[in-house]
Amino acid sequence: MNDDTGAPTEHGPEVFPQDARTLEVLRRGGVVEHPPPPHVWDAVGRAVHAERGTVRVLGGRTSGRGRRQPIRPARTAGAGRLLAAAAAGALVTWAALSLTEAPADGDLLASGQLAPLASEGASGRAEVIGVDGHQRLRVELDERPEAGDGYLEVWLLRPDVSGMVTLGVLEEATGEFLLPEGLDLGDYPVVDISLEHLDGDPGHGGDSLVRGEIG
Amino acid sequence: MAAGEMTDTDIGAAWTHGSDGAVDLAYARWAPLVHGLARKAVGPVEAEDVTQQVFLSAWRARHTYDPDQGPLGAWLVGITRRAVADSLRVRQRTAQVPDVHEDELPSGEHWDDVDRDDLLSVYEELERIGDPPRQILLLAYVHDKTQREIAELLDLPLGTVKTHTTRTLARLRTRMGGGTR
Repeated sequence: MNDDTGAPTEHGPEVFPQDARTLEVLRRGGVVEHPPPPHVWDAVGRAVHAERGTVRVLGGRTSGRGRRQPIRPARTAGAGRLLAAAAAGALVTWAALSLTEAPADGDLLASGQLAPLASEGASGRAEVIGVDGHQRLRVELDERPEAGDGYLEVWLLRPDVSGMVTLGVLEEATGEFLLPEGLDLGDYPVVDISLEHLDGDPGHGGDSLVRGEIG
Repeated sequence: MAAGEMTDTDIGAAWTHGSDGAVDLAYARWAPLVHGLARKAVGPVEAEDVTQQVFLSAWRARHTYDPDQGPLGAWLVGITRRAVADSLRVRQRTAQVPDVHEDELPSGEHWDDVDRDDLLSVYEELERIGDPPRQILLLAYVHDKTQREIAELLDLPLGTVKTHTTRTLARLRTRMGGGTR
């Protein structure tokens, strides 16, 4: 190689002896980029999806820490009593109807009606179901609001909107979302469905279409 | 959105904002580089573990990424350097017998510690510098294109290509730890 002499080469305008090392590393490395096999992403994707659903506080960064509180025992106990009553007979038909599409048997922990907040909104129902120690929010709208070139995002809000948790994207009229572990529904009882745009801003865009309180 | 439609800066911004698809985008853009560097540094088998580790670590530490300190690609190569070091430590701890695999590799494939470090340094710095200087340097010294060919390929004035080459080499020089100085 001419590189060690510092003489100009056809590759570079002037190559200093000090650059010999850089060139040696680059040439020896050759074409470095080498896509990993698909299973490498599978493991990353699984871990990332498992860890998603952390609490996002309004105007702040996503954080799974700091806001974690246990589910209020009283609320869980109340839901248990509700289920007991349903099992006793009076509410069996209603419970069976409302849970027919639930993918797995679970305890109904809370529920509420959803109402349109804007002309494009829709009515519906929200339920929180406990399955295998996890809480899931099930949203059922009479019809899916038109999102245009945007998308619908489901949130849980504090009543005074001083904080919010994003749960994910609603693709159909019905959707089910895993609630972050430790989320206190008493703290975030308001279900909100907003129209969002692919603008790179992860926060609530301010266009709430549907809202309702669960309890 | 596909990664191909976004610039490195766009992906960095999505990452900074904690957008849900940011990991997917960053993986699509930088996994080949991370995995390729890991293959050179620790070999094909451990490279897959290293690649996984890099993106998992990056995801878990995503709030520590500071765009003011440099582009996301450079940050990821920095994490790759640490993951490679961890992998080599584990290899040393667990090796019962001399590692025969390395001896079986063609001589050009054996990268010692200094070489590995310099390779990672070069690519970290190239990510920091970004395009077009990065492209220019790789075309010149990996793909053996002349300055004139590069100017035509990238549709840049020849003088610009030469200036970028000189400046980039000068920057990389400061990062080289081993070999001749």
